[in-house]
Amino acid sequence: MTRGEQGSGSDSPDLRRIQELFWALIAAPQGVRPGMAELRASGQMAAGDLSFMIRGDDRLAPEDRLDVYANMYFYRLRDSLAEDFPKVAAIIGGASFHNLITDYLLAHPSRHWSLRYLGVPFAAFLASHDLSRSFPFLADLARLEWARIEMFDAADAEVLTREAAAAAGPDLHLALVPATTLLPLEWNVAPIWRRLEHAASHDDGGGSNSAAVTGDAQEEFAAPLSVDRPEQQKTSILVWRQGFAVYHRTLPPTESHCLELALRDGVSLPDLCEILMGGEAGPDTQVAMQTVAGLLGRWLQDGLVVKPGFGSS
Amino acid sequence: MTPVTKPLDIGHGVGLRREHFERVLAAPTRVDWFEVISENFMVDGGRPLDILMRVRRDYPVVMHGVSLSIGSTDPLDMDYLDRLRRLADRVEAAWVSDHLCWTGVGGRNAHDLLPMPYSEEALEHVVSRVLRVQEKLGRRIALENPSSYLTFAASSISESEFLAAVAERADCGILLDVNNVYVSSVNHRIDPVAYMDKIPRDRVWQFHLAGHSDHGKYLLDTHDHPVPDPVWDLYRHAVGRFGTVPTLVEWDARIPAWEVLEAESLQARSLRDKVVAEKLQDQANGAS
Repeated sequence: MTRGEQGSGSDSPDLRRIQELFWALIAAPQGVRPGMAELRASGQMAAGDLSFMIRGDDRLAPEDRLDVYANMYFYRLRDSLAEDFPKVAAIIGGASFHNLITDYLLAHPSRHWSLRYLGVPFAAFLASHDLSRSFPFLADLARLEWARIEMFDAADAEVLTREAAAAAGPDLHLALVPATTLLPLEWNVAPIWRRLEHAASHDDGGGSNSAAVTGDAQEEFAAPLSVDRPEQQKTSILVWRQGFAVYHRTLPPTESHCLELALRDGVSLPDLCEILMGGEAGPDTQVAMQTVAGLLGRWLQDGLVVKPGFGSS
Repeated sequence: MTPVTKPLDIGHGVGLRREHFERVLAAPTRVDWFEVISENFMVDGGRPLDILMRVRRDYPVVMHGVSLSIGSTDPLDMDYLDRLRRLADRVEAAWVSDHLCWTGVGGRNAHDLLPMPYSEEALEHVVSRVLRVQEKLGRRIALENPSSYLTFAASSISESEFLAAVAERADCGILLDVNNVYVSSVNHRIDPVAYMDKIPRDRVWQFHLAGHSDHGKYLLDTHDHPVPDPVWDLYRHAVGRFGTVPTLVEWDARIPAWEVLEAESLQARSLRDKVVAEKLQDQANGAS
């Protein structure tokens, strides 16, 4: 990289200043030049071009060269979030999603070493975003998409089998596998999730992520999908991983309540019966025991119950 | 820390990508080893980690990270290094590499390989951090030359001189990405052969080969094409200069069928064998 005109470095900003300025300009939402104008307006940058920091040539000015990084910054993160929240993106369409992510990255730039965590505050951000006026159920759909990601790589556990559960009898203390979570939602988004999943699996999926690294200005955005608005209805959704597959299902209130207790501290079968009988119109012992047996059967079948002692050694 | 300067030649590998998980586990392949993006497996559990451990039963695994941010002026991320070490120990990584770059500042992360100024200040900074990282990981690391799209006014030496100086002063390895040398050579109008000739022979642990995209005024390192002819030509020079160094074909976007990727790796092997045979022949002719 020997060049005719090597900078002496003496008039150049130091490494920290270079990195701070570089960052401010690649993360500027409108691109490098508008970002420079903003910095100048707020007195954070002197007048003139970027040649005090970056060398240009006859092909590309310093600002154009930095723009290559600015584009990669935005498109990589946007496409990563589009992979994490494909159903949110499908509903609002590519152009709105693009603008949403511009807003999101300003409010929540990545602060983790892994891109995996970029979407952590996304649902909460969406709930307070203007888009939620037109799509009030969108934040709940994002919560469901995110919970499925969280369960995908949650810790493994050894699952309790039916035989082992039978052998343990009524002394069994129920604790759930780490890849289990309960989502209390305001909107019943499970049906819309299923419709979008069906639509996506019947799409050939061609051409996806091609804009990721190119930052192509000619990019065509996907149109919004027209979908019926879900019902506004308090809903509890269980999201879990069985083996390596992630599932979710909507829970009846009784099961939701019981699973919540099991998730919190673990719970014994007699405790569950007592809880079920606790309400004013609670069932008698016989019915409660039958209900608990039914729930336990389902949970064992779903691989939700962790083998006692697993991970405690 | 192990006293070995250079790891063993483990042959020709490819990047392990989820599109190929099932194929790789279903039947033997003709590649010698796999490289993984470390961060993708620095998770608590689930399928990718399980696949990695199963792949590891049959192949050496090299860990290639993107989040070390060795050039950042932010403090080193100790949580990251702890997790990196745990994974490296768990998969018995053949070696661990990352890039000569920074990825963020002020606690924010661009998840991109951002370029360094090649100044004395930056050199001291990077060397001191490599030494601390190697101490923390209990092993040496290799640093890769990134593709770059700009040079800094503050740079007083070339990238290859900078990389060579880091390797010598911090006693680390170099992952020489032949495609990146080519991409940067076009983007900055430098001589790629002269670049390589500044890299010390005994420091290169691994080569990367990949494809890129032509954006007219610059080349972009996209890893979404076959290895193009100019990169193969440069690979010939690299083998001539550095000898039989483990070589990896990277393909990260528009990922092809397994057979296409495998064939690319086999092509690298046969080209290397040819260069080595020619060199031996030259030596034999010279001796006779």
